Amino acid sequence: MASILCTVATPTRELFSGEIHYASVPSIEGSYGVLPGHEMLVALYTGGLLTLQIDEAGTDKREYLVFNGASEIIQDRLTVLGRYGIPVDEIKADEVSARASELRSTIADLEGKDNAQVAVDLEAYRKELEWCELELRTVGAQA
Amino acid sequence: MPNLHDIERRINSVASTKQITRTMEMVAAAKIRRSTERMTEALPWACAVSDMLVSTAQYAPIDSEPLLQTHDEVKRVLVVVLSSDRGLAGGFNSNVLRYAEKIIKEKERQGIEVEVIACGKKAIGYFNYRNIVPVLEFKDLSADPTFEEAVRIANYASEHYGNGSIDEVILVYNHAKNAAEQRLVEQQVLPVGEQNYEELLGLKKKEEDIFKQFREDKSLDLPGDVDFEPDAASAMNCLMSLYLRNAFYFALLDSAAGEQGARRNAMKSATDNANEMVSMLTRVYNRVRQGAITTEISEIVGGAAALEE
Repeated sequence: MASILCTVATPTRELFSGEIHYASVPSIEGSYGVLPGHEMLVALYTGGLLTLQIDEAGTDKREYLVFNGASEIIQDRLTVLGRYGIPVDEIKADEVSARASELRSTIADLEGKDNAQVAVDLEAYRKELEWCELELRTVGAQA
Repeated sequence: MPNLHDIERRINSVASTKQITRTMEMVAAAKIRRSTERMTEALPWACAVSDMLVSTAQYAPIDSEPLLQTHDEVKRVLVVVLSSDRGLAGGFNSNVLRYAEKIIKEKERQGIEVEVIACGKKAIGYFNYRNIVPVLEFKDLSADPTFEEAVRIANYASEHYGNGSIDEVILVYNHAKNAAEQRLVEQQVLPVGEQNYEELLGLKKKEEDIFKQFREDKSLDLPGDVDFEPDAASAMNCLMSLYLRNAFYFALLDSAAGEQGARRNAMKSATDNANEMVSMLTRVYNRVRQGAITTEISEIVGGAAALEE
């Protein structure tokens, strides 16, 4: 059976690159499945679970949590780009939880201040907090 | 004439300075490797963003994308200056800061207001000393730039360019041409220049495709229509902001590699100079020591001759 060439990348790390047989990709309006011969599509997503089926039988599956990016399927070539991304089995709930608390207190300190530096910092911290909360939700921990 | 003890102390002092500069040279060389690795890690993302932009541009309404519009009149310019947090890197910082100041003065002479984003403690200090208060400051990140830093710069630039409060974004940094050479670069990030614009969106074949060696040979001509979710305009907007982040991130990585290259060169020269100084001081030490021995022998011989008489 034909396969799909897939790349999953974040700005600082290539999470996956290789052939797959099926993918479930998050998008703004839910998630969509990709099999060889899929129509050409560029889709945006806010965050979700990306599942890649490496072998035809579906015994080898990889799961990645991706956040805020875009995916593209063109001529049996799937590219998923995420602002943040991590293999689900690499999520460390304790570390993420600690980071989330740290971010919450930083955001609380910055809120109310009004200058350009604070505005860009707040925006970046809020996005990172959203990502941490998504990670915690995914591994079932309490955010 | 210095005495032997003074010269010995000086030799020891220069030798210990040499040890420090030699270590710094080796640390800088290791950091160049780390910078190169970081760039390699960022390449799959950069190639993918470029590919997505090309395939989206054929269908998206380019004319309505705010980041691809050129403003009729330039009233306010954003200058992003990338320097380092630490010195001891030869002319790395002074070159980029003097050039940035020249641009700022030139723009102000033309009646254009200038905003500055300063990356690196050297740039922050330089501009604050000259009463140019940067709108955004980033420190402690010059040697290890993060994508977060690029995102913050890009968000500020795209938001203000999009709402018309900034009409041009200029990036000034040192490009690491190779491990030993840095070249000062002034890059107009926004508006995207016509040539870059056509190349970026695949409307014109690139004269030099920088990703060529990293991508597999495939035609950019698509055999059918591409669907978009939610729509082509949103996809274009998202991809343009990713492009902008990439532009800043790669400049930050490039500048970090350049900083380490410049520091290695500077430390290599300092080590060579220290070596030269140690050998010169050793010669002086030996000459003084020989002089002292000769004087002592003369005194002994003189004394013995006097006794014989």
